[in-house]
Amino acid sequence: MRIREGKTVIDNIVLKRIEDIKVKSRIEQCLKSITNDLRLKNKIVITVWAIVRTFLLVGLGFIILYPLLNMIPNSFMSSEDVLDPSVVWVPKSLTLEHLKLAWFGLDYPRALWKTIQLSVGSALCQLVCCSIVGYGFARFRFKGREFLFGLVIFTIIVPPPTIFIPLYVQYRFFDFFGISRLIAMITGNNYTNYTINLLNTDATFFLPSILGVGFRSGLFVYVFRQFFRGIPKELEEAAKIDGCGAFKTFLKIMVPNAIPAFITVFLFSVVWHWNESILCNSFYKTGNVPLAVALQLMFSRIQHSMEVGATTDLPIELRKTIGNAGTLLFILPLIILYIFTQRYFIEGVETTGIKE
Amino acid sequence: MKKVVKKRKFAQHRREAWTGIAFISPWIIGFVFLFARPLIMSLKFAFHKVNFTAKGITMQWFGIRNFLSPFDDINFVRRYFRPGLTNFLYVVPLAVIFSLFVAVILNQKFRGRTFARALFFLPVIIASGVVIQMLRGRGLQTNMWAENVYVFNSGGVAAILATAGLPRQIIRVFTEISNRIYDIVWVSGVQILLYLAGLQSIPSSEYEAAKIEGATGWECFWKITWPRISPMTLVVVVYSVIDAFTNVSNPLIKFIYEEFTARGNAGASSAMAWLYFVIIFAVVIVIETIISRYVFYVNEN
Repeated sequence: MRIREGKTVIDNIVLKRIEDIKVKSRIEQCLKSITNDLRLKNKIVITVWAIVRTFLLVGLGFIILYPLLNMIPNSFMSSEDVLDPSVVWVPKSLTLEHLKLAWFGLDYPRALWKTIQLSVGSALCQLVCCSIVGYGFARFRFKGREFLFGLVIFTIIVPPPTIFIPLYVQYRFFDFFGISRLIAMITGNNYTNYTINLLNTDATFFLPSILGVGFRSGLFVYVFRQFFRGIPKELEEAAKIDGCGAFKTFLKIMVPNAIPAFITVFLFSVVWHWNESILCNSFYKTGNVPLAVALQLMFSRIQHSMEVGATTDLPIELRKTIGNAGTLLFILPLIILYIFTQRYFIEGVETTGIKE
Repeated sequence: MKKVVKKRKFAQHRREAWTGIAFISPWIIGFVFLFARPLIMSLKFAFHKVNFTAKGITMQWFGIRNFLSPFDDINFVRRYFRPGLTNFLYVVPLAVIFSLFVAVILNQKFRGRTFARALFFLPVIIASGVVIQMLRGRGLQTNMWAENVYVFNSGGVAAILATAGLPRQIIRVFTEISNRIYDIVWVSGVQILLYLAGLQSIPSSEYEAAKIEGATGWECFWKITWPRISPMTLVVVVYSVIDAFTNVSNPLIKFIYEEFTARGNAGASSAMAWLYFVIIFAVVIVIETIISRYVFYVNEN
């Protein structure tokens, strides 16, 4: 600090203050220019990355959507357009003819209703059962709890093909501890070797679902267990003080709190059952069939007519168009459902706490 | 006085245990009758020759012939067994890396983020066996779609690489990977979601602290993101492995179904299914033990 002669002490202090301010503003100026440079560089990096990212996402989205999007115009094209190699995306003339063919080929209204019955019914059964079982695993202590839960995880790991043959046999000659014989006895039939044939009925899916071993039920049990673990114990204790038994506690307290988990599990279950083509194909051979089976049947019929060389000989492209139309009809309800509920799917993973 | 308290506590524990079992009872019934029993029956089938009649099934002891007979056919080994087992080697690393990459992108804030997320999860909604067949063009035995979407026409590139003198194995790896590019995008829907959930549990304060210290994006990823989501990586890897083995498009799964539905040979089908199951189980356990060593758990208080 330079003490200026000829000024009072107070003036010196004021002068020092002014100097400090000047130095400070110089430093601020320097810093500002540095951060400006950095900000500019940052901005460039950010914009470049935004462009790269957009390209990436668009490219990947293209890979996902391309076949789907191509199905839509293809299903509406008239026969001439399909055979015309210059028409790829925009049909010159629209027709509903192929859609109608696919509609009748699939017996769409009946198959659709059947599929809805199957999916929603199984999903509800799974909801009820897996939530109860999950709650049991989450909140009660009993011997062998860990071991039994390990078995639950085991059911997820075992691939379904391993047990589908015996399941087929069991459903074909269903005799649950002699229950079928009991029923036969009651209805007055011959009951010595009476078995029920459960194939081609909905019971093949409803029964395992209500008993907790439906399609990917282990996963849902796991989800519910994680979820119920995360609910604070105080709620249950309060219910107990109020005199609720265990089951009432479950109904009145746990269920309202678990609505997001319920919605997610229900949606996933509906979608998975809708898409389940392998088991459906094995267990539903005739009669009222769900959509997945109907679609497969239609494909094989088209295929068969191709190989046998039927008199109404359709060229490959037209067959593909009918196949496209059929597939479109198959996934359309799912897509509609997805558009309205996609939030629950995507946020579902976080809601249910799998991330632990 | 102490004795009375102890007795009451004990009774309460007993009651709690029984209520718990009551809650689980539907699952116990289901497990025993619709899972454990079929599983054991399937093992029995594997050792017998099974015939279906109208009244029931008849079985003859067949020894281990059911296990060995598929391998007699060299076509089986080449077309079903080897691709079925090696499929996961290519798919799992690609799927895990790809889904992590996409999840990191989808975790950033940008316009249309919800739409992008919905888009990448769409394959999970549509992924039915029948639909996938159709989309790949194999539903009606035409390969038009497949060739339209594959990035490399593997025939041409493979030929060029062969003349360049690369050993055959490397060429095969290369074509396998390039054929999988299309599949990866379709298969990784769930993995992307899992990673997204894991990424969102990392507090952004860590990233801010790192930025202040002058860390670059690359360092941020490897020092913060990667260890933090390592538990999720384990889950994603195990899920990808199981999915690669039990996916409908896996040739060995197709074999197991066809053996029963088309050729009526329940014994051979069960044998192969059990063999496959044991292999999958072993692979999953091995992978899980190896990766668990590297998983970094953050101790939350």
